[in-house]
Amino acid sequence: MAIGIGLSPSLEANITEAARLCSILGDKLFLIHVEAPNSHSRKVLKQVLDKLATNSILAEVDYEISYESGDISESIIRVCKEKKVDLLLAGALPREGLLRYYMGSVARQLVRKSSFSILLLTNPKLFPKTYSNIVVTGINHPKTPDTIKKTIEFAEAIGSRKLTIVDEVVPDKNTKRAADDEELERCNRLRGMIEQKEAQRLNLTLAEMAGANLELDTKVIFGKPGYSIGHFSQTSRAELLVLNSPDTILGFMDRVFTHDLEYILSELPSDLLIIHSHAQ
Amino acid sequence: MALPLGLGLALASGAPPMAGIIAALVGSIVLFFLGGSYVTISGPGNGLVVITLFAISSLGAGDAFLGYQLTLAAIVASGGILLLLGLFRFGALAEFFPASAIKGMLAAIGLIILSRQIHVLIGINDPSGASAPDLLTEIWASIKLAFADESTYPTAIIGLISLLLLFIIPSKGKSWLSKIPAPMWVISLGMTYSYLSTYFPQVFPAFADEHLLKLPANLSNSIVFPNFSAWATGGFISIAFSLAFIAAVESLLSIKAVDKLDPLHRRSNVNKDLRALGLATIISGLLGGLNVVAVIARSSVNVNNGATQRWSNLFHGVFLGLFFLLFSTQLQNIPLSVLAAILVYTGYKLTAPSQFTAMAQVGWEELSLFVITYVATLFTNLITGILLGMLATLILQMFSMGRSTVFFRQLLRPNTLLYEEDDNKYHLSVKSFANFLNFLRIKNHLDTISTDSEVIVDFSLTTYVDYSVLEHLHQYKNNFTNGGGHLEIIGLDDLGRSSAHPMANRHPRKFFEKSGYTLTRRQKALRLFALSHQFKFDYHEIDESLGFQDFDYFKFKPINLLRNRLLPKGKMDWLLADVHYQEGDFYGNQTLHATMLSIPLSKRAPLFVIDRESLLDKVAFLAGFKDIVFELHPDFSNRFKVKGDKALAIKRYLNRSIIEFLEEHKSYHIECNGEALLIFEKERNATISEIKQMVNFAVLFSDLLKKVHA
Repeated sequence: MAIGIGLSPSLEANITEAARLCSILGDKLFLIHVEAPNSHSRKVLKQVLDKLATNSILAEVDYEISYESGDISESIIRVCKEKKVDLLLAGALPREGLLRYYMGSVARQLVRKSSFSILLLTNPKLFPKTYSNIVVTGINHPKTPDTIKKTIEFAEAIGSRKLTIVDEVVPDKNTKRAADDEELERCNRLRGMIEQKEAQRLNLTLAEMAGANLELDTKVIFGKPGYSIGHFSQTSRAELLVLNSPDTILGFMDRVFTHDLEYILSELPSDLLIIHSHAQ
Repeated sequence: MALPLGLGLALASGAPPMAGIIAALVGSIVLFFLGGSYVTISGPGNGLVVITLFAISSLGAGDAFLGYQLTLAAIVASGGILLLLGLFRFGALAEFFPASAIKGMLAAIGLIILSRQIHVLIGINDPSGASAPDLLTEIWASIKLAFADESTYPTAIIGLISLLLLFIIPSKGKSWLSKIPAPMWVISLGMTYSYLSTYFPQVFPAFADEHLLKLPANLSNSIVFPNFSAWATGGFISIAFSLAFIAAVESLLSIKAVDKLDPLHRRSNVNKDLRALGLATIISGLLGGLNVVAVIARSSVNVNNGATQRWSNLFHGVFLGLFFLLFSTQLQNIPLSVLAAILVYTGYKLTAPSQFTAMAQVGWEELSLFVITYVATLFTNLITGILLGMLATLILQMFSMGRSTVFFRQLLRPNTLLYEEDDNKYHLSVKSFANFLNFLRIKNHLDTISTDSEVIVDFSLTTYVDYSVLEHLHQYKNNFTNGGGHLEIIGLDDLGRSSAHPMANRHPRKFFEKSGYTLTRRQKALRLFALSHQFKFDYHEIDESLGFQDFDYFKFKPINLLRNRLLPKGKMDWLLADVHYQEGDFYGNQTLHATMLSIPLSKRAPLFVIDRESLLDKVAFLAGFKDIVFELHPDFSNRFKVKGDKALAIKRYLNRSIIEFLEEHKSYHIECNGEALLIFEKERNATISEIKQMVNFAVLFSDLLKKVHA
C-alpha cells in the first residue's frame, strides 16, 4: 500500500488513515512525497512524521518514505510500479472548481493513468473510524463480479457492517416513458422484470461469497449511470463508494461531455475506492 | 356554452363566425378517435384570438378575405407543427416555461381580448387602435361615439346588462340562476330582445343590422379554403410557429387542469392529445376553421354536468354542428354585443386584479416576473413576451442563487435520484437546485411511479427551489392523493423564502431572515399535530444540544442546532426535534438533518443499542461488541441487533414484555445511555406520519419501561 502525500491541512489525518488501514490489513506502507525544487517541505514533513510515529497508529506500522521530484502524478505512479503497490491512497477535494475540473487535480490524474486500485480520501479522520456502510457498483459489466468480490473481502477485513450493491440500469424507451396509465403500467411491469433479472445476476455473483458478518443489500436504480450511484451513496450516508476502474484512459473530452466516473470525480460523495479488477 | 364562445372567439379573431364552429366540430370528432384525454373539450381557444387577428390583418395587407385564406394556411402549418410536437413527445413543453411568465402571458392575452371587445360591447364594431394600450385609451372616444349615435343604444344596453349578468350569475352559488351557465342566459336575453323588437319596435328599438350576427345564407357554399401562396415568407412562418406554440401551451395547461377535475382520476396522455390536436387543426384549417385546442372553461362545465368519457366531447361537437345547421337563421338574431360581453368577461377573468394579488402573495419576485411578462407581451407580442419573461426569471434566479457559474454547470448535469426505499415507497432526492429548466427530470421520475404509492420528494440537498417546481409538485400531490397514494415534500424547512406562501421561492437562507420567518407545510402540520395532542411546538432553532449530545451516536458528530421541537406541555419529559449535526471534520464534512426523539428514563438502565439496520457501527463505543443473542426469543434476535457491554444486565433489562412490545412495533434505532433513550428511524428528516408513529411509539415504550422497572 502506498500513499501520496503533500503539505495540506489534512496531511496528518491522511497519514493516520493510511496507517490504520495498513495495520488492519497487515501491509507495508510506502509514503511518497514529490518535492517542488527548493522547498522546505521535507523538513515540515519530517516533523509531522516524527510526531505521528510517537503518538499515533503509525508507530505500529512498517513504513518507508521516498522523496521524488518531477511531475507529481507521473512520479507517484512510477514509484508504485517499482514497489509493486496494489493500493494507492490519495487525498482529494470533495468538490472541484471549474478550472480544476477541466485542468485536473493530482488525484484525478492518478485515477486516469494508474493501473492499480486507488482510494481517494475526502474525509480523513484522526480518530478511529471504520467504513461501516459501503456502496459498491453492481452494473452489468465483466469487471463487476471481481470488484464485488474484492469489496467484500475488503469490507470483511476492515469490519464493515453493511454493503449495498447498487445496480444502475439505463432506462430505455419503454422503461422511461409513462405518459398515461397504460404506459405507466407497462413501464412498471418491465422495470419489475429487469429488477428480477438483475437480482438473479447479482445473486449468482454473491453465491460464491458467503458474507458472514456483512449485511448485503441490492438496489436496482433506474437512472444515469455513474451519476445515480454517487447520489445514492450521498443520500444513504455511505462512507465509502467502490467502483470499477475505467475501461479506457479518461481524457479531456470526457470532462467536456461528462459521463460515468467523471460525475463522481467532480463531486465526491464520500471516500472513493476504484478497484482495478479483472474482467470475467 | 360552446356555441356563443365558438361564434364569439371566431368574430374576435376577425374570422367568419362559422370558423369557430368548424374548429369545435372537427376537434371533437378527431379527439374522440385519437385523443389521449378523457373529459376535455376541444375547440377554438381564447389564447389564439390575438395571433389570429394579427395574422389576418398582417398577411392580408388590408384585404381581409385574402388575409383569412392565408391565415388558414398558417393554421394548417401550425397543425403540422403540433403533430410533430406530439410525435416527438414534447408534452412537457408547458412545464419548461416559468409558471409566473406563463401566467403573465395569459393575463396579457386576457387584456388584449378585453380591450378590443369592450368597444364592440357598446356598439363600436371597428375601433382604430391596433395594440391593447391604444385600444384602452380609445375607450373614452368610443363611449362618446356611442352616445352620439342613437342606433347603438339597444346594443350597448343589452351588452352592458349581459356583462352584469355574467358577473352576477356565477357568484349566486347554488341558486336556480346558476343551474344554466351564464353565457346561455345572456344569449337568450339577446335573442329574446331581438324577437321582441320585431313585434314591438316602439317599446324595444331594433338592433342595427351591423350589430347582429351575420351568417352566410348557404353554409356549404361559404366554406373558405386556405391559400398557401405566402408559405415561404418570414411573416407566415413566424405566425405558424406562434400559433403552434400558443395552441400547445394553452392545450397542455388545460389538459393538466382538467385532469385534476376528472372524477375517475385518470391520467391524460398529453402527447397523444397533442398529435390529435395537430391533426384536428390541419383538417379544421383545410375546411376554413380555426385552431383546435383543449379548453378549460368548457371542459369544467362538461365535468360539472357529469361527463366521464370521451363521448362527451364528441356529443358536444356534433350537437353544436347540428344546432348551427338547423338554427342558423335564428342565430342571426344574436346581437354582437352579447358575444362581446362574453369575451370581455373571459378576458377580464384572465387579467383580473386577483391574478396580480395572487402573484403578490407568492412573493415580490414572482410578481415582478409576472408584471414583466405582462407588460412585455402587451407592448411586443406573445412570443417575445414570454421569452423576455423567461430571461428575466433566469437572471433573477441566478442572482438569488448567488453563484452563477454553479448554475450553468449544474444545469446540464443530472441532479435527481429515484429509488424504492421500501415496497411501494419511493424516495426522490434532488440535488443542487430545482427550477423550471430542470423540473423535467423530476417530472420524468414522478411519472414512472403509480399514483397509489408513497413518495417522498427530498430537497434537503438543494439550495434553491423555485415557484414553478413547487406549483407543479402541488399538482402531483393532488394526483397522488386522488390515486390513493401520498406525496410529501421534505427538506424545505432549512431554506429561506420570500413570502409566507406555501409555494414561494426557496433560496439560500440569509441572516436577516431569521425574524420574519414563516412556516413550511411540514411545520404547520407539526404545529397542528402538537395542538391536537396537547404538545408544544417550537420551530425556533436553538444552538444547544439539549441532551442529544450525551448519546454515543453523537460522540464524533457535533450538533449544530435543533429545530422544530415537539415536546409535551408542562414538565420536560420527552423531546423530538430535527437535529442538524456534522459528520466528519476538515473540509469534507457534511451537515446531516435527522428527526430524533430523546426520552428520559426514570431509573438507571444499562447501556445498549437496539437496531434493525446497520447504524450500529456509527456508535463508537460499540465497535467490537458482539450481538447479544436472546435464546428465548429467536425471532427477535433475528430481526434486531442488540449490542452493549454488559450482556447479562441488558438481557435482564429487556425482559419478555419489552421484547414482545418491540416485536409488535415498527423498528427504530433505540439507544440507551443509562439515563435516557434516543429513538429515530432514518438519518433524515421524518415525514409527518413517521413523526406521529415515532411519538406514539416512544410514549408507549417509556410507559412500558416505567411499569416493568418500577
